[in-house]
Amino acid sequence: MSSVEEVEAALAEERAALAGAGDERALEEWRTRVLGRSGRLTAILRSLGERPPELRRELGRAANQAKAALERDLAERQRELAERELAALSAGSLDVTLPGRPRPRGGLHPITQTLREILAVFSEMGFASVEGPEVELDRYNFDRLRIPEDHPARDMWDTFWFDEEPSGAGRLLLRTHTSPMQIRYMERHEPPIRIVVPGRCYRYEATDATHEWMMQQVEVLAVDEGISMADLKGTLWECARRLFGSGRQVLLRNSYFPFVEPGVELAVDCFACDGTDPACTVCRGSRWLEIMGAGMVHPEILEASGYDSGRYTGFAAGMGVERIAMLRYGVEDIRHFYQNDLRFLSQF
Amino acid sequence: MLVSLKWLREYVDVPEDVEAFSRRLTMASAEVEGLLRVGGDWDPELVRVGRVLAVEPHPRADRLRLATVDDGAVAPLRVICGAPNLEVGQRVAFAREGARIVDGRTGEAAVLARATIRGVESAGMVLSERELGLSEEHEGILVLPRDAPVGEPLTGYLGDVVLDVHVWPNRADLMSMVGIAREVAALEGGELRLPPEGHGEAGEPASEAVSIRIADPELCSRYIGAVIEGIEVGPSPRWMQERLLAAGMRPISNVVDVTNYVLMELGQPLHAFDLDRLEQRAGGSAPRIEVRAARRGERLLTLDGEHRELAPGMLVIADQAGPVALAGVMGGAETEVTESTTRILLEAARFQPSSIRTTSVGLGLRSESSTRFERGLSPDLCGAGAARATRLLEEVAGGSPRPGAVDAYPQPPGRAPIEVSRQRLETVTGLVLGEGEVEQLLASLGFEVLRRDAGFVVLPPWWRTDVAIAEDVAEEVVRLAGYDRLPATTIRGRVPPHEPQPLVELRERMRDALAAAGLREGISYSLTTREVLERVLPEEELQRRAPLRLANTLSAERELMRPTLRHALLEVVARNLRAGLPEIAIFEAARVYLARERASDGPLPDEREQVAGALSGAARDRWGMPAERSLDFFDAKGVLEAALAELGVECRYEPGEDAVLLAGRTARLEVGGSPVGVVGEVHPRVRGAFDIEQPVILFEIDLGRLLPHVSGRRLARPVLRFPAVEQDLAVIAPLSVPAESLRAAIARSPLVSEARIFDLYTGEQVPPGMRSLAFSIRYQAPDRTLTGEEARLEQERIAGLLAEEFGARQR
Repeated sequence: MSSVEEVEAALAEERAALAGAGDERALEEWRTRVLGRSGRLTAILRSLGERPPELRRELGRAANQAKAALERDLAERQRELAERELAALSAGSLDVTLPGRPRPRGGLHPITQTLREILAVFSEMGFASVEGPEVELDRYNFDRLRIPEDHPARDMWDTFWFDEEPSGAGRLLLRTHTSPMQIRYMERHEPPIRIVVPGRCYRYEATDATHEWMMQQVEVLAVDEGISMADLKGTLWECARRLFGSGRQVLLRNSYFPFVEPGVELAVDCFACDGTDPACTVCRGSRWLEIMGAGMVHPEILEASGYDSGRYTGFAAGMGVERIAMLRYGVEDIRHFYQNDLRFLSQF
Repeated sequence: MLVSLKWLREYVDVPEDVEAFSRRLTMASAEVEGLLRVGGDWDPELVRVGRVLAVEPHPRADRLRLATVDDGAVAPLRVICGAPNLEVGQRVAFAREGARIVDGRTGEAAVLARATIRGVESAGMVLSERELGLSEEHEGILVLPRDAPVGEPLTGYLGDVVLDVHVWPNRADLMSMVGIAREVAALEGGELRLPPEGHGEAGEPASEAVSIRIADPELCSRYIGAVIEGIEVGPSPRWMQERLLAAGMRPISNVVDVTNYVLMELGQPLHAFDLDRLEQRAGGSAPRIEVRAARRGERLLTLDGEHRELAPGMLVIADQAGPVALAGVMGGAETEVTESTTRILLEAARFQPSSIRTTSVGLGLRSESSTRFERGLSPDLCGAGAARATRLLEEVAGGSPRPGAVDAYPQPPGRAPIEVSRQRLETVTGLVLGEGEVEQLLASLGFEVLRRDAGFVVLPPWWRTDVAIAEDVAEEVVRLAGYDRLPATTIRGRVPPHEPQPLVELRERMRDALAAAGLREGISYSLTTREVLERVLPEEELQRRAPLRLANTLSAERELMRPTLRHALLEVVARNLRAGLPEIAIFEAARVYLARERASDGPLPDEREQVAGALSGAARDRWGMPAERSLDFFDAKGVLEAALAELGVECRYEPGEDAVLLAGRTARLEVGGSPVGVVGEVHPRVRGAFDIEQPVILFEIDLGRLLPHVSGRRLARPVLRFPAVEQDLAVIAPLSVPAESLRAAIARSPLVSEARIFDLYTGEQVPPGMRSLAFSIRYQAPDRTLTGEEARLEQERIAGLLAEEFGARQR
């Protein structure tokens, strides 16, 4: 039989027990034992009905007060514990300067990354990327690009030749540039044309810090009605800006490639010194960095592809990906790219 | 081409700011690749033209003398000189103390210091060519012409700026001083001063002394033969020698030097024959010169002393007795001009460019002449060249020209006018110019321009053999107007329809997927050697489908087109191991090149897109340090699983065989029932051939074979919403049963949404020939909550099935 004294004793007892509950689990046990469905206080409240009415009221009030007090205490204790836990968490138990658990880290070759950026610029201007054969016929690599065998312009491309001579098709070679794909593409398509052609090219020459015998080029070709040299300048300028910075200027100067007329060389002003440092290691004080050759597609090339050169004009450009990657990443020797030293590759 | 500005200034004014001038030339005409300042170091105060007033012996040294030199200063200076050729009265290059010179002994730059030799002080020096940095000549001092002005700074008198100009192969006209001068006159607005032409004439007409016939006007459109008599062969004058030297040519004799001088001045190649020798060959009568193709069996002893077998088709100059010169390439020794020559036949001809090129390239005889013929010279140049050379021979070799050079010119071509519409001009250049400006620009280059309703009719000057169509004219206009005037616009037309490039797209996605799976991309050379290929390809494979072989290689390392990527990856592994890297995980996505098996497949070889990778070395521990465990087959397989999952490809790994990989540690990759590649541990013998002493795992996928199984469209599956029941199942199964067979059998149950292997054990509690495999199975129904009882019953059914099908009993 409970009395008010007993209730008070229980209150004191359970308060002490609550203070001793040190974690979430002990609190939950305490709650079940004291305030739960068959808990100690619940039992007292349930037994009120068996009491004489005068006692019932007094005891009821005491029990309800005790329950409310214990609930308050519980909430307070929970808050205390949560705070203590938080304090423990933030008490600097982790040394955040320790290294993270390593994940395997892969990555793309700097040439692939540069190539993709170039292709992305042109893709946004509506140029599709297409690829062509690396082992080519001399007809496509030279003759149809207006570089006949007995013309000194051939000296501009030192060539790897194959012995094989597929019957009637001409001699096989390793393409010296991506330009043959201009012809191959125009053979099978009608204007308007906007393509970029990435791919490996090969030159029969000794290597040094700026020359490799294998290189990657991107060819650009646009053919449509009314395409002008101003379009050439605007399109290639956009490319230069995207690769080297939005404030860049470009410079066109006279050049010669047999498959374009007029032919130009395109240079961008030095992104390292803005053309202001005569001792600049990037532009060597020249202010301008040559990055591509270009020109208006020669009308004979258009005619040979069955296009009416009176109606259609176009421009073509070619750039070396290694050259652009060297400039962008500050790589001083082109030979680093294809040695596959992971200490070099993992920097990109 | 080397362009001496001192020489060039004879024909046109050149601005003083040489660098800005070079830039303009580079922008509009031809690239100035180098700029050499001769005498740029000579201080005008300290290095001057001097006159030797007196020469006395050195009081205490036999080989030294004392020279008193007047260099225009208040008082002459007495200096020590060791040169044997020093004489009183000479004009010399004289330097005073403090001048920057080249040390005659070491060849290094030096500052001339006051010196005392055996008691005599010397505060200056009479200089040799070497000390001036002009040449290596150091035997004696440089003796200047007698009219050299005493006291003038040497940099003004002898200094020069030489430009190294790269002329594009289409610009034959720029391969000469006058050609460059014309260009400069147009660019800078200066006036062109052409060299004088006229000469005297004496005796019978030249046609009495020689006849000329062109057999094939296609191969030789014009041949002028001038006859000059009374020649006295000797050295050419100093001014001519200086200019030839500046142009990079060696002076030989006055006759040869004149031909070379005109070659450099006007760009017309010339050849001088000894006319007496020709007459001897003709038995004393007048030689009959014929320009024709060589005949089978004909031979010629050329100037370089070689007996050359002439191939039919080579163009030769012949007389009654046979060939006397290889046209445009090299003269014959028999009719060469010698010291005793007094009469010459001077040739100025126009040969077909391709014929000259074929012969000169074929014989390996490239010369200043052949490089000009190859570019296509104008026949009009022959006349100018012959006349100029005749005048110079008169001047410097005492020559007496016969009247009327013989001029064989069967079909003089007319010059074709070019119609250039304004619209074409504007489209091509993107530049809108006034008609007056167009006319003025073209006129400055020597073009004749007529206005027509819609544009112009343009007649190029005779020397511009490269200008034939409207686009050529447009280039002339825009390069002179300046490309900086072009606006920058973008293409306005319709964007062409998109054409998918599925193989290229797959390759790029594969690159990304492998990089994301932790591999580093490499790029290696497409060419390799047979020796390297033999390490990774069986001999019969190399025999059956021989790799494409280059006809010309720079080094043995570039001999064959690679038909595989395997060797390249092993080379990369080896290189990086040598560099001390503990962990290597690399791939390459590139083409391999296979010879066509049938002619009907077309002329080109089969270029297949492949991807291959290699892993080797130690796995990493928690600190990223090399762990005990080495990267193994399952590391590589994990990479492939991750990458292929990224591509949405379901791949089966079946035990496989491969010549390069270890049996029992190799899997064939099968997608949609067809093999697409392989992964496995490299055979120790193979890796040993690359000096690799640790396990390497290699994989290879043919992207063309994979492509049909890569779905362009990925369909979403509904997410199962009803709660799942997870249960483990452990079985003891024969070692011969692949784990995947068991797992797949479990996964086949309609109530199983996922089945994974989570433990593998062989050991004490497992009978020999068996292993314990544990599976974590997720039971889940698409349409309801599965009860534990249902899951239990299904698991029992599955366990029974595994026992029945694979002999795997539940543990």
